[in-house]
Amino acid sequence: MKVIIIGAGKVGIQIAQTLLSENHDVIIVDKREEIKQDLDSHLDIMTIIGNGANVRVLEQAGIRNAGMLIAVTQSDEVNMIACITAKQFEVKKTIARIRNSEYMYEDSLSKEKMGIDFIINPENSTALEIIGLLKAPVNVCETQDFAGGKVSLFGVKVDEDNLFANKKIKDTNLGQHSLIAALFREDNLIIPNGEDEIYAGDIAYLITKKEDVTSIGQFCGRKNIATQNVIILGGSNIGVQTATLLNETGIKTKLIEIDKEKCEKISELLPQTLIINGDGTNIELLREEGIDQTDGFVSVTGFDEDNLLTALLAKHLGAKKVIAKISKTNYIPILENIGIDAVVNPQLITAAAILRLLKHGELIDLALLQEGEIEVVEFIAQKNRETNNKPLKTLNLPDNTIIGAIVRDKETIIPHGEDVIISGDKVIIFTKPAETRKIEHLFL
Amino acid sequence: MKYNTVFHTLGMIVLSLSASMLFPLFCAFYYQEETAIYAFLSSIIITLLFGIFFYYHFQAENEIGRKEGYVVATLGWLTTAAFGTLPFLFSGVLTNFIDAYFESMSGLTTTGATVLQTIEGNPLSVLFWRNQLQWMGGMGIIVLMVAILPALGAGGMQLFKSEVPGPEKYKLTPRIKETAKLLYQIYIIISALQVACLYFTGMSFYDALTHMFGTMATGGFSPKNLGVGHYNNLTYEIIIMIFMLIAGVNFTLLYKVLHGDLKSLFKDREFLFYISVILISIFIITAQLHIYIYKSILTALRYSSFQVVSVITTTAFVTVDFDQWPALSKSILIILMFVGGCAGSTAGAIKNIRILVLLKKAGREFQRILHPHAFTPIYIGDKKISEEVVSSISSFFFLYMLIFVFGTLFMAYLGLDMVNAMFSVATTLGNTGLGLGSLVGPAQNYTFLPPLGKILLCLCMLLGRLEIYAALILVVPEFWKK
Repeated sequence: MKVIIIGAGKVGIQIAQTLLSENHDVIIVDKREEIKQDLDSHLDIMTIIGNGANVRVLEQAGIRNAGMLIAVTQSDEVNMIACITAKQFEVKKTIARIRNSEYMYEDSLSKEKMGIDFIINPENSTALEIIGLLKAPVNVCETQDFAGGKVSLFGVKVDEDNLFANKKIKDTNLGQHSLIAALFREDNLIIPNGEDEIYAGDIAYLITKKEDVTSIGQFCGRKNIATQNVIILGGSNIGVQTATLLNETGIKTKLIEIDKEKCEKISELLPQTLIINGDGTNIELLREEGIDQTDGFVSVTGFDEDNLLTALLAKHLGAKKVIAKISKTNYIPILENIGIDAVVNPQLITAAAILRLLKHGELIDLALLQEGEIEVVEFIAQKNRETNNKPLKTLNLPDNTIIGAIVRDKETIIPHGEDVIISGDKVIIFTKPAETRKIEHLFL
Repeated sequence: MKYNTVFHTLGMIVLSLSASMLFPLFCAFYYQEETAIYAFLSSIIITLLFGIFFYYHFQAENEIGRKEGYVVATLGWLTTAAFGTLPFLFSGVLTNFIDAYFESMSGLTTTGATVLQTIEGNPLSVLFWRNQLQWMGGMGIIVLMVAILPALGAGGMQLFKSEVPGPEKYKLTPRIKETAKLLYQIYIIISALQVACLYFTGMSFYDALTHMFGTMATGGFSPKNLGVGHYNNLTYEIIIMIFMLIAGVNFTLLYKVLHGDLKSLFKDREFLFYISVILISIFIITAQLHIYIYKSILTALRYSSFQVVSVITTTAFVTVDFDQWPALSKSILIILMFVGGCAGSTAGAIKNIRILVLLKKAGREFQRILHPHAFTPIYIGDKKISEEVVSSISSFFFLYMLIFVFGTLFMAYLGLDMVNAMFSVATTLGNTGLGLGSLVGPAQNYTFLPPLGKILLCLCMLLGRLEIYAALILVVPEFWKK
């Protein structure tokens, strides 16, 4: 299929890479002339320089025979116009990233009228991600739910204090309901077997049944906390949405914002939140607001450096779990070593959300971990496949692949070598992106 | 440098070369040329074995990067030319490796300079091979690789860039593999059309095919001693002239035209420039030939138009010994030899787009003197040429001339007189294959050049075909540092 992506930012490129590996033809439209050469030499795509809302540019990009258009520029308006234009050319699927919630009121111009099939709101997705992380134990840096919440995936940072550090996997006694599906060590993915050891510094990906949270508590050691109060730094869209969601679940929130006018606006939006007008990088202010008693600290200002440093400061001052939003993905690999519990990156979250939409139909769900190094796919086992009713250990799975969970009716199975897949099961598989094709070939 | 990847890809190139020798082998069987059959069989086997060794002994580790692209392109051309010599040597047509390498390289780079003293009388299949090499080199062996190799990913673009001529390279499709395929499709369609035209106007199939190879690649090899002049047939000359003209046009543009977009032809500034240069040259030369040599203006037009198109497209088919022409006409042909065809065509030399940009750049300097603060980007048509491209074009022009100068000095050092020294270098660097002088003029061949001179000219051909930078970057020491 021919896919046109408008906007060659982080999101656009991440999507392009995934689409390429699945043999789609990708055309990227971007205004910036200087990126063309770089893109052309790294990706097998066509780059068109121009405004994505300009119909001539879109024609040049081949809108007439495109199967999908994904508009992810910085500008909501450009994204919307691109989608409207695409629908005029009868492009089947259109996806737009729209940030500004003012366009989202129920009686505003409807999605259908704009010709947008799916709207992605990065702020909203990011807020949801932050909530998931806040609810999980301290050393969890990634969470994801599968099979309608029946199965949870946790990325846990293993440190020296961890009970399982330096132990072999077979000695971990996690019980029947959990499985260490993957270890991420020094930028490498390891799909472990019983003999592999867990080291401090690894990120361990643990799959558990929803009802069996004890094992995750056990794995994370004494650091299990129930989040009661949260301080949010920055009255950005993400900050406001996070606060709203937290308030709904009854968690107390404080929001620190430096701009007075913004504070006024926010206070109208968030009646239950205590809005504090002040500089969040100020130690005194943080102390006054009881940072040492805080369960969660979330920094979501527009500046990466501020977010990172204040999060570190908050951790130092006694906040139990700190989460920072960053925009530059280049920082991510070093961040989790310096003491920040988790980072969220709206671009990566958006890319993952869009990819999930793209896969819709073949797969029920898809998650990207570690900047796309690991893919977790969820699908329904088809009828009459050779893989059905066979013990898993006899299946010829590609390298670096493990079946994380099988959900059958109401039962959730964390599988072992002797378990089988029956048609109709929801299967959750961990794999490398390069192997996704083989997996689809094998099961779908 | 990922050597394994490089050698693996080279293995693939050698394997395809071996497969391509099946055509002349078939030809040898058809004409029952016994020595040639053995020559091709053994060439195929040797090439195949080397190919298999390279292909399997070195496993590709990862994608071809920027550097690997250049190395594969340059080494690919050097090795292809080397294995291309085998049929010449085994059949006894040429006995000296340097001569055979010269012939093979001259074929592949579509230069068309030859060391064969007489062409007729050699096995037809070997002559077929010689012309087929031109056709393969015309659109490019690397582009062929990109078209047939399984997914090269972005590496394909690196390879593509290092071979396709012109200052800027465009994709026709999102996938580079598809673009390479489309280019070859157009190439094959137009080639088939030419064969049909020649065949149905009375040329034998063998002659039609071999002349098509020479025309479409803008190479200029012919299985006849006198080239196209052998037939003294106006129809053939017109057909060949038209197809030379087409082969000198950017194939991206031809793609658009074949898809019904005729307008783009007349909007393309490079094409218009190319046609204008041709028309003006034909006009002047015809006038002069009419005054000084031919009584009939139509005869003058016939020879001048064929020769102008033949030289500007760097084909160098000859229908007349233009060494006898008046000085102005000769000078125009010499200058055309430097101009060449359009970017993205099979023609060689500097290319019209570069000349056009350089002209505009020269004009811009005046503008800058008059208005020191003027913002003066260079436009070709409605397309802005970025400053980086403008500067790389200036450097290309300078390097081209520099190589021309030093090549000439070297040839003079080897004992050639000035005219021969200059034209042997100019003609090989421009992949034209036809010069002036007692040794390299239209009626002469390169047999009597000293061996060192032949080696230098081989290098000039390669530099010309890969447009200097792609090949010359390999001698920059920093390129090899980690």
